[in-house]
Amino acid sequence: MSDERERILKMLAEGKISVDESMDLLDALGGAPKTESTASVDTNTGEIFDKNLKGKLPKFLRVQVNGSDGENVNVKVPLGLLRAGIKISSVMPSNVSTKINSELNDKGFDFDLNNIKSEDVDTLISHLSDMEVNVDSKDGETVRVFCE
Amino acid sequence: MPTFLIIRVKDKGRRIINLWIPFFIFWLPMLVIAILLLPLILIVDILFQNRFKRGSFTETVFCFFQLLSSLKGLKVHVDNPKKDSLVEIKFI
Repeated sequence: MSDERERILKMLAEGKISVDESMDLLDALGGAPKTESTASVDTNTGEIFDKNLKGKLPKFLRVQVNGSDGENVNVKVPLGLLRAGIKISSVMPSNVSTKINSELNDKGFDFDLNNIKSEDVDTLISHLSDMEVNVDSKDGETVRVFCE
Repeated sequence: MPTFLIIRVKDKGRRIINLWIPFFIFWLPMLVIAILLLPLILIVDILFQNRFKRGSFTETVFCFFQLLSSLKGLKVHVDNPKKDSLVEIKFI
């Protein structure tokens, strides 16, 4: 994200400019056609919410492996499973989540399942759309991991 | 929600398994059972409300259904054209 865009979004989060003004500024920067604003700011936390965020979320995680011996593996996982899994983890009994957190900490993951919110999952999934892993080996094996 | 579960297994050109399991026929009975058990679920919810950290037992049941419905589109496909073998599992 460019510095100017970041500055505009910070001003919006701080409440110094309105959503419409920020859209005008962003349009002026990028020359993009004006669209109806779908962003809103939580005045308590300063967080910016974009109603269109869900429309841009990738829907599937794809893994494609083409082996040198001709074997092909193609896996397509709906990312909705990730959301559903996170929701189930949020309703786990406290003693279960404490055990899981301690096991994760023992393995070196400084991670607390209780801190995961559904907005965090949407943000994670939206960034996954940019993720692409391509591996080509000398044997002719190829591995591709991406989201669509 | 997935309507069919397809399982196909082929080995050396011979079709060993080709199952089309109609998932949708399970949804209506599951819904009926869920509605019938709803009073019991709510009672469990009230009795054990302190046991669940953030949600409730009712929410857990709904999350379970959400997990099942998000299976639509899941696909695992492994094939080897040289050996003419195939294993495919998918929810459509």
